[in-house]
Amino acid sequence: MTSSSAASRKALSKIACSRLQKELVEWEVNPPTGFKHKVTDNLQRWIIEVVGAPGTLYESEKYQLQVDFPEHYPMEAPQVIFLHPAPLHPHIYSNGHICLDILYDSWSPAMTVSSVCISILSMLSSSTAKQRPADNDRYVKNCRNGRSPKETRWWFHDDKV
Amino acid sequence: MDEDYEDGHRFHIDDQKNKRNLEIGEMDVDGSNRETIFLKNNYLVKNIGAVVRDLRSLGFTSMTEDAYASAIFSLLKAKVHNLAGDDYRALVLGSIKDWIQAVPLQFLHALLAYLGDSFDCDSMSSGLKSPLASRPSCYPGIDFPSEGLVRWQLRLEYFAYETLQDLRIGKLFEIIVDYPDSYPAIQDLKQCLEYTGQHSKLVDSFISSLRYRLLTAGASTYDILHQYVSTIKALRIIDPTGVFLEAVGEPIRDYLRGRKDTIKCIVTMLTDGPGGNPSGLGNAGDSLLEELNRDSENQESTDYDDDINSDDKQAWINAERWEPDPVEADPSKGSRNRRKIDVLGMMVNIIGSKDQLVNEYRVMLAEKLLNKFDYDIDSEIRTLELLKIHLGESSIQKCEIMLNDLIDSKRTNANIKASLPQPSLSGSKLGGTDVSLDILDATIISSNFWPTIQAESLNIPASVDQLLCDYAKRFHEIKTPRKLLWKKNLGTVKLELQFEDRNMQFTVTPVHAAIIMQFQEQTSWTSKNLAAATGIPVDTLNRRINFWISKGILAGSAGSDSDDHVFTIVDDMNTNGLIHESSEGLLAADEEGERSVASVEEQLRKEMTVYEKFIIGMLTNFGSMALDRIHNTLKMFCVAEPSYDKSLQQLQSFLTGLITEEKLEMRDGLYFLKK
Amino acid sequence: MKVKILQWHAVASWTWDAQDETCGICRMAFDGCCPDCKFPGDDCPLVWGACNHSFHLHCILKWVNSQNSQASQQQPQCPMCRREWQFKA
Repeated sequence: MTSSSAASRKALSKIACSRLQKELVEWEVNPPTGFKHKVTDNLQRWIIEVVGAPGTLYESEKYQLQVDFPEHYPMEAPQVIFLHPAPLHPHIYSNGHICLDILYDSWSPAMTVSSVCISILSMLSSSTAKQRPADNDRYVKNCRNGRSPKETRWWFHDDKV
Repeated sequence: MDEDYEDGHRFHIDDQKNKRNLEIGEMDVDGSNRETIFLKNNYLVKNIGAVVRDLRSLGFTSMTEDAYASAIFSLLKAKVHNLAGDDYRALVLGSIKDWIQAVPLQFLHALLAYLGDSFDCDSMSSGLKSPLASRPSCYPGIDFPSEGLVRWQLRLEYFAYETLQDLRIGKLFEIIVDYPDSYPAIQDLKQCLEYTGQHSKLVDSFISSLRYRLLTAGASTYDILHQYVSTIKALRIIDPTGVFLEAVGEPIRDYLRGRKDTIKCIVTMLTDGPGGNPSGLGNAGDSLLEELNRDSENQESTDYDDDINSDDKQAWINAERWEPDPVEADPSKGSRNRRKIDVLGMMVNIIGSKDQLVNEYRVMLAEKLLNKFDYDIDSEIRTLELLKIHLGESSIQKCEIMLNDLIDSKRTNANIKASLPQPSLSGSKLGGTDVSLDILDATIISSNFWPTIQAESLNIPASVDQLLCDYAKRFHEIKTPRKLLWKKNLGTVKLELQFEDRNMQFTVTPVHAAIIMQFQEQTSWTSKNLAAATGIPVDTLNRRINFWISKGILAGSAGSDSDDHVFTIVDDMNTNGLIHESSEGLLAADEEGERSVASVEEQLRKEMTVYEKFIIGMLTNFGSMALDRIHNTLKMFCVAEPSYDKSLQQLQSFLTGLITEEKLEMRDGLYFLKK
Repeated sequence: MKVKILQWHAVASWTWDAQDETCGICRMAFDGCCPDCKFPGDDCPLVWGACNHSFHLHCILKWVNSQNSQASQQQPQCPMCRREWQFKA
């Protein structure tokens, strides 16, 4: 696995547990279009399959998201990364890390896995070029020691994409 | 045989004399006792002894022994039946053993002595003991029993144990019906079985009598449950490990699972005592729960759920207490379940899960609380505390909130009434009916935690409606920003019908009150018009109005339209001759079987549909799944509200429903999505 | 005939009367209680922000505290609209 910081592996708090159970049920009842949650017995790590939206550069391509929840979710954001191979995108590094503000500074406890997924899909959909971020190699090298994207001080590229 | 009996009879009388002699004889210094016995029984022993000797000399040794042995056995058998009989309230094993000592053994001793078979015992007087050294009991008047005599004693006692055991096993059903009065019989039986080891006889015989006498359509579910509980209590005396209980209990449980009212009856048995008598010791009318609580206070640590307090220390204690299962144990059944014989646990076992028990209790509790006039919930609190002890706090949290609602309601109700200016403002006069806030009380519920409430439309009388408005307004002021939403069809109304010549009081539901109040201004209504006026659907109205017809207050007749009825007030007492008292305190709702709370079955269907998409989702991902796996996955994921708390059977019946709806199909024990 | 009501024991349910059904933070019903509470109602009250969004008091406090404890200079925001969180007077 790419990275999973020690902090995010702490057992879920009562609130986190109850909230995730609810999200899971809501997801099953009303899953976001283009996403499929792979049922496992692990509540703290969700693996979600995402299919590129029709009419976009990623149409019909399948990728996998790994969502890890911290002990104090939803007061803290989940860690969301793409599993290998990550889509070619100006905001997605080859190690799967995603440069998206709501996953870090702009997280709000009112967000859900589902709303995060939709944001990621819309980020993919609005891309005009299949390419890695300019600083990809440097960043990925820096992350070699298994650093979590949540420990990165992100400089958000561009609000439009 | 007659002669045998005669002999035995006389023998018995002789024996009584002997006994007295013996008692005196014991005071004597030397062994002259034996001489006395010889003298007394001389005649009889000599006669039999002579015959035996003669037959022996003819070569019939074994035949003669068989003859007197069988005579003694049949005498013993008659004695056991005579002593034990159909009285289960006294211990009899002791007196049987005494009798064996006093009668047949004395005779045999004399006979063997006469025959010269046993005089070797004198030579062993120095204290050399026979191979069967431990003398089962002392031999009155016989100083040193011969080996032959000891063997005889063991034979006779074994025969007595077996006879008594067979007798008691044959009547075990009645004995358990009589439990706990029949406790002595159970104790005797326990001792017999310890000696003979024929427990399987008990299991087989008892199961067949259960099948024949209890598990039939004629027996009420309550009777079966009572017998089940008594069986548990009685058998755990005989067999503390619970192995046989498990074998015996299974057919009862299986049978009960097939009955629709089982859960309801269990909950009623557990929770409904006459209540309100905390000081009473062992009241016959106590709820089962109350009784179980006393039991568990007497025993140590009988918590139902192992996992609740399984700290390391407890685990160590349990490990130390471990004993191997009896050989009869069915190895397919986990010994952990068997270790503790917990009556409540065995009741839950019938239902399947404690959550189902709690659900049923919650529905019954809701019904009870919603029909209360006062806020007196002492007995409900007590019951809940007991349930908490046995089922764990988390499972009954919703029930706790419900009770808390009643406590809060009482306080809020008092506040609201105290803070409202009394007659002038809120007292309204409508249709000649005086109503002031004095008459209004309210139970305010946290509806999220109550079972689904049956909502019915109802226009309540304007005067009362105005009171509800005032009340709600005041609530909003006190508890801003919280608001009240009235469930107008729920609650209870005490009212008085005032006729020219009499007054009658009734306790009814708001629906009944709304109906009868319409007859104040207009003495006759068609069902269509009345339905419109009260806001009740016509079919419901026609059903509910029967209450007033059955009380002789209203009379129904066919209207001009075939499906319309006309209801008219009956103003003449003489034509129906009602008795006032009988109509008081009757809750109409109960009579008609109308319930304000949705039944558990209805709720189950509703609750399960939440999981339908979840199940479909799983099957989309996995292709196919076995029942167990679906069950476990749901358990794992649906822990938050609404938590998945259904049993395997409930899930199965729900899935079967999905199959009939052609959403799923099943092959080789696996569920698939229907393509 | 006249009907005299001697006593009317009515039943009502209470509600916070919030715009939403559930708290945006814990996703539990407003008329229920937050995951840390045992009893709903007085024990687990609702609060409104200046922006008119409501949450269980205990939930929004957790969020506000977690924002304040972070080294970042930013003021706590309403989880729903990101406006600066202020309790409605």
